[in-house]
Amino acid sequence: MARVLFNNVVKRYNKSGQLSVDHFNLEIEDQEFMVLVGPSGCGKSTTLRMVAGLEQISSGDIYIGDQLVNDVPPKKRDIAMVFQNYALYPNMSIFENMAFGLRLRKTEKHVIESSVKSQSRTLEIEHLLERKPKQLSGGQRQRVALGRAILRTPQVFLMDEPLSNLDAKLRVQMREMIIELHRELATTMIYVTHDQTEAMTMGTRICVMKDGLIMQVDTPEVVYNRPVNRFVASFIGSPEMNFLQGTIMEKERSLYFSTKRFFMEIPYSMHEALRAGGNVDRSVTMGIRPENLQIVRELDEPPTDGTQITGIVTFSELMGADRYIHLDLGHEQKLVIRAPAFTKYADGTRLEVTMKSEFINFFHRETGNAIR
Amino acid sequence: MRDWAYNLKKGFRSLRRMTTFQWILFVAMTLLAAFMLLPIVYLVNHALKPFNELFLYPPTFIAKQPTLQNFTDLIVVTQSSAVPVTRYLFNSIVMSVLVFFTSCLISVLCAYPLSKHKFPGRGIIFSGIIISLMFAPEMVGIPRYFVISNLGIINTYWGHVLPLVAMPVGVFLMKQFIDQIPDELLEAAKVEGAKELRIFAKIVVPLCMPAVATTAILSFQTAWSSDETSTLFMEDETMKTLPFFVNTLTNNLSNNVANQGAAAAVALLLFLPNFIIFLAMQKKVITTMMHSGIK
Ligand SMILES: Nc1ncnc2c1ncn2[C@@H]1O[C@H](COP(=O)(O)OP(=O)(O)O)[C@@H](O)[C@H]1O
Ligand SMILES: [Mg+2]
Repeated sequence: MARVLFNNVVKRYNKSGQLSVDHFNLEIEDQEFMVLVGPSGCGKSTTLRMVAGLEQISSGDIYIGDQLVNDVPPKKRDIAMVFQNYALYPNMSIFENMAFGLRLRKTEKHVIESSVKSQSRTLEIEHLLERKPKQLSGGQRQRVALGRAILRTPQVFLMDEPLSNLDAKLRVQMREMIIELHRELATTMIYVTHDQTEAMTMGTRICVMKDGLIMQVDTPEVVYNRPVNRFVASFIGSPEMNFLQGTIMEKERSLYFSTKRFFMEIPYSMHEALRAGGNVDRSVTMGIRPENLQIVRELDEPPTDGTQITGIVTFSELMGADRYIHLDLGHEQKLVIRAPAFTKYADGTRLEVTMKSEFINFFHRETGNAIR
Repeated sequence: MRDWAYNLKKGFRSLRRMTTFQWILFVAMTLLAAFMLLPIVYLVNHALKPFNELFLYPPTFIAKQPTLQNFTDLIVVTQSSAVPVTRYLFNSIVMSVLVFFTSCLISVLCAYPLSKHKFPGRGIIFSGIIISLMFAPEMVGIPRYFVISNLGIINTYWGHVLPLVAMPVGVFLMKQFIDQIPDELLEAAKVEGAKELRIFAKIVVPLCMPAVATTAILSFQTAWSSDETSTLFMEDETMKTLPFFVNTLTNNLSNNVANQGAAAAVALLLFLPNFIIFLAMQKKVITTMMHSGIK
């Protein structure tokens, strides 16, 4: 059990090349479940591998507990790692795979035997101990890999996309299993994924990365509701957040968001931030999540006064409990609405929608940073 | 045994399900296999032919009156000379077994770091090994002689073994094989606390057994049938090997005819170990490939 501290960590693979991890500062608290999430190639694995000691740090410091581990070899770091492709030793039986680490620590034979047995029982792989990894399904293999990691009773668990090779249903099961494990073991975990759903459901905190940089570190709720920039806003959440281009206008001491088709009043709580940033009469990007849009009614005629937000249904997707309705607002602006499955409109219908204005986010047009 | 019968049954069943094209292929392949088998049949029968049959024209494949006369001849022929055939045989066995083990060990020891460790100059080293594949042994005969003679290992087993221990083909084969082992596997072991030597012995070597077996076959065959080291580096007759002895039997013009029987017997003797090693190792190659789980 230990915290993990990154202090200005930089990783550069080639001397002339780009930074794969760029001045990474993060403190992962003891017993925390930290998820590193971001698109492929953003440096998540590199970060994790530096904690494991599998990659040299170009500059900066990494602490595990109170120990500076920059030059500590992997085996002395007291960590366990789970890989995407399971990394089970194909030439050894499942039992041997799980016992490998314990044997290296010169654990007594009967202790190895009993701990492997009991661990495999909790993971429901007891009947597979005699088999070779090749004879197991993906889910079983990943459970073996987890079991092997747990048996080491490490200070920190590192997992690099452990569920990516599994099918959707198994992924959900394993997700629960890992969450449960974290609760039982109460060990620090660093979990890497490119899947925002996994990040949202598993992490006590999420660290969103892009091009080697940390974009935002916070709890799933905050990252979801208060993203710091457009990248985080669109990366987290499915379907993606809707973005509309428009201008902030001041009229009779109140602020309005105005597009070519409609204008709407901005809640008072956001005025200060918008004014402070000098965004009045400037064009900005507004973001709103699909579930924060509501359908008011069907319209026959296009509105004339611009007080209503309207659009034409281009298509809708049924997702089981939900239906995603895609609206075309005109002027190349689009909206996706998350509505209950029973709300059904034919393609081409004109709809009026409203926004729950307290869930609106504004972003700078150029920088993409949130205005708040 | 049960398995064997089951497989045979299954084989017959799939025979019945074959398309015309598969039938043609099957027959053609069988014929080709039979054709390839002919030299072996000839070799075995030739060794068993009595003296009068050896020189029949046209030559026959099958010995009409098989006899072990040739083998007793072989012993007798060499009894009068200074070095008995058993000495050549012994030298051959010692040399081949040593080459067999050391070349495998050296190849895999060389291939592993080339494949999985990043160190400056590894590209150059590997290219060097590949380039050395292009030199025929005849080309390097003289420089090799200088090396061997300056090392002072003329007339020793070292002189037999050392020139054959470095096997570029083996290194190449094993490097290709080890390249396929995922890095994560070795990293997982490293994180678990395994030292380099243990990773090598417990994971890398077991996983590249097919390549080791192939290298073993190649190195044994090379060593067992090589008369080069005997010709070039051995002056002492007692240090020479069986292939060299075969050459003296047939090349020596004075008793060319008389020794044909003995030569046929030695030829079989030379062939058999190759054959056995090949069969044993080939099975190993296939089973390890099936169980290694390397994609
Ligand atoms: N061994 C390596 N050598 C050179 N560049 C690498 C190496 N591993 C990763 N990179 C580069 O570093 C960046 C981050 O990679 P990685 O950490 O694997 O991303 P992620 O796991 O987030 O998909 C990528 O641009 C990748 O090309
Ligand atoms: Mg990765």
